[in-house]
Amino acid sequence: MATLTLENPVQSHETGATAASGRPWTGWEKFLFRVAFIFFPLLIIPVDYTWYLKLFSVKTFFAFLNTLTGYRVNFYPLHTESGRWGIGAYSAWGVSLLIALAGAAIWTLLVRKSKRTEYNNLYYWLRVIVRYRIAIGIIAFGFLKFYPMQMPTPSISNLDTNFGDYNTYKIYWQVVGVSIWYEVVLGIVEILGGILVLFRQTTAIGAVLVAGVLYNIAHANIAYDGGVHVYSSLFVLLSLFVLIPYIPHLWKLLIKGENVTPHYYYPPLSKKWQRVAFHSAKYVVIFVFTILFGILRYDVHYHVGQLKEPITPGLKGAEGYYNVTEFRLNGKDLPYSPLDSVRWQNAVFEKWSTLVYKVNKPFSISLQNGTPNPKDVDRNYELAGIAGGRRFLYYKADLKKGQLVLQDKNRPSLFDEDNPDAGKSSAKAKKKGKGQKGKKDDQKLVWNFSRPSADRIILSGLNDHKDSIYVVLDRVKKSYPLRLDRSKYTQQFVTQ
Amino acid sequence: MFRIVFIFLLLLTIPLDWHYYGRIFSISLFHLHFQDLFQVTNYVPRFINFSYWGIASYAGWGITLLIAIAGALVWGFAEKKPADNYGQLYYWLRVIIRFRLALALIGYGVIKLFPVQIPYPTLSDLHTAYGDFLPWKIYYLSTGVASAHYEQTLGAIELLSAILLFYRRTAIVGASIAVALLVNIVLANFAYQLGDHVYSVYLLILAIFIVAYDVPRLYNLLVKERFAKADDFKPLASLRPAVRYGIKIALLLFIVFYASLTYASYSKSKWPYADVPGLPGAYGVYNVREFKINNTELPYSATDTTRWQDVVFEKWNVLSVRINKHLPIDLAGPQIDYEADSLRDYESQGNGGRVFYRYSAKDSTIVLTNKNSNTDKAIFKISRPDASTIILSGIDGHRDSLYVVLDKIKKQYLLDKGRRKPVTVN
Repeated sequence: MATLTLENPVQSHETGATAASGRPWTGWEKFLFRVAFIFFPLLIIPVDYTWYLKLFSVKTFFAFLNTLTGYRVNFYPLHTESGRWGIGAYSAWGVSLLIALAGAAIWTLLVRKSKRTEYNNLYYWLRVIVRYRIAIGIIAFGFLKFYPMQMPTPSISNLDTNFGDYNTYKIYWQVVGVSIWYEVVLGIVEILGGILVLFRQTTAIGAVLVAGVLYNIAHANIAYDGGVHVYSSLFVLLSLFVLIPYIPHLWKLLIKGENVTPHYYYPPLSKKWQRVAFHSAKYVVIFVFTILFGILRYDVHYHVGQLKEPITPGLKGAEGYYNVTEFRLNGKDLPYSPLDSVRWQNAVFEKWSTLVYKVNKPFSISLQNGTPNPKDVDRNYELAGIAGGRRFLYYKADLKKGQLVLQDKNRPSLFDEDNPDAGKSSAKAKKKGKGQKGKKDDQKLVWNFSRPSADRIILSGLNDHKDSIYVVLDRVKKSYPLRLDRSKYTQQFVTQ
Repeated sequence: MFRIVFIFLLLLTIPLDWHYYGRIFSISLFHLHFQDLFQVTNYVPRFINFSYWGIASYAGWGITLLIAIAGALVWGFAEKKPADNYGQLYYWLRVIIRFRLALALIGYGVIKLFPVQIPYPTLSDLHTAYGDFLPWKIYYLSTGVASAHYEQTLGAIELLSAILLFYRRTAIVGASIAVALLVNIVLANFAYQLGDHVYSVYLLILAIFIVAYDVPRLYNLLVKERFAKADDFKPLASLRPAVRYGIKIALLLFIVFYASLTYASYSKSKWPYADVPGLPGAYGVYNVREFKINNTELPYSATDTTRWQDVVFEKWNVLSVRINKHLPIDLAGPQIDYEADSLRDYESQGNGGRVFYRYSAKDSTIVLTNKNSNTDKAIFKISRPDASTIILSGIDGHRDSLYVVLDKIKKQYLLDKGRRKPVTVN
């Protein structure tokens, strides 16, 4: 009953002259509404049947939800540079707008005899759909940062890579990964924005928050070639759409300094079953996409291990940066040289089962996003956008035989969460080059290893060219200025 | 309560620190540089300096708060009956704070609009390992490599919010934008130890203070969706229109003047890097092909602690050397208050991977001075047998004689390659 008394004053204003949406809509308003009513669903509701195939072929409930949160409209991907990275990537928006304009024109013609004066009800439901689309998408985005897995902390090999040997997009992600709590806070802000948009009282503030944060993300993605500029711009567009009804009121109240009594249309829901259905649907959606999604994301992150970084532990106690004290090629000792394309300069054993060595030789660079993958060998965030003559090898250690079975990690991935098309095109590329390249990709190296002391590892075996190598690695204790706490010192210069 | 806030914010806002005035009055009007004007906008209320970092860095505020509470009590006793002109005082406090906040946003907005605050990385930076930078430097470099006018746009938004703060009715919009920007700036200051944590929190408080005035209205309108009363406050006393417009025009002129000085620096000067050009045609990264110390040749080595590994010649008169040695790191943070060419240390600050030398070359002699230590001086004879080779020989800062042959490397940077087409580099 308390709610009833609360709502009474609102309803009494409804009949008042100030009730803006109580009046009949003008012709332009109706036309623009028709455009919006076609345009936004085109951007939100998947029309691509392969998306549904993918949706119903996933194996876990989480993957199902995750697919739901991440739909990106793409009628026909333009395979041009601009179509993926630039302005051309917005083509789906343009196409949708054209369809919407045409549709609205036909609609207007068809209903020219109709006496209908407003679309309050439809407008309400359109806003509901848009709000929920924003919320589930942005909350899913936020959880990626909340459990800081979107931008992992820089790995040892990445810390050792020169700044100029980074691609810009990797720099953009890496700097966030440097400060994990900053990433967590950003995640919280996104989740908060999403939750606020779910409730009508807080929709306005939530939409402002989402528009602001996502504008920044969209612009940064253009600035650093992050590749998700269209998807993040979508949230800005949707948020601005949600804000439209508030703007005249805000303008009047703040800028013109006039009193305002707002009135917004809400569907009457006169019958009990309608109210029950409405509220239960609302809270089921909210529960599923906030709490349940959060729990599942946690599970996927910490238990299933759907991650960007490999999780299989590497050789026990081997983690670190190594100098190459000795290097023999076919029995012949090669001295250290920064110019040699065969002799290793240094090597890194990561905490996980990756071995990285550096030579003076150009490699084809992995320009993928390094999105989460189910298999360690495919978890290639560590090599994404990283140059400097580094080769990244995934290994399986056979402790009994004292052997490492290694595999080059720089190979086309079949699965890319942020860029669903990447899988397709690289699969195609794989088919094309099946003859030799396919074989080379899967070529495995088998090296013997021994560990005469805690800080020394000796590797021997045949390299890709079937030359025998013998490598003595000695660990170097490194302290990184990046981990230095400036506030602990009062003097200006510090030597670590 | 109002009395406390009133005194507290006034004490923080009105510059009481004589250092500030000392700096302002030492500005020479004939050699005005945009940084001088930046300093005018950049009054950081600290009062006492227990520590630059952590909670202690806010100690001055604690004392200010105590003074404010005491002052408020005295004020309360002093007035016989509660005055009803708090509304008026509140209004004038807001005016002062609006303009104070606007000034700060102008200060920082302009130097992003013409990106001198966060410049593009140097060649030496490109040849420094990611882990060898201090966090603030990584943050700056990462922002510096953004394209698509990202930094400029942020500056433009700061400037826009400042201008909106000039006018009473748009102040709420400007302050809201400022809150959004400042929340991120405050977070980044703590996350990356950028060093402006006191100042940015102060500005955030000001912005929230301005927004707070309209919160009840907005709450009614947006959350409760009920009658929202507009602000009908009328200041009793108001400045004469001539004065009001005078102030606003002066501020706009200040922006224009400050912006043009900044633009002049951006287009004509390399600030915060040095303006003296380097050796002609020397710009690049060099492999150290040969290295003799006291006539003993040292072969290539990843472990030797004296042998140079590579050398970078910048476009200006600075070269940097990579040596396998723990080097002293300049812990100073980014500052916008150095000007003389020889004092521009931005490039070496926060970089723990290289030794930076400023050099002056005359005829075939080149004198190197360590940027982190004036006593580390080397005098070399320089010869350049061909366009890509430089030979240095002479005495270094440890009185050892060196003979160094440098070969220029043609290096391609992944940083410049983008990710739109397949890339093969080393």
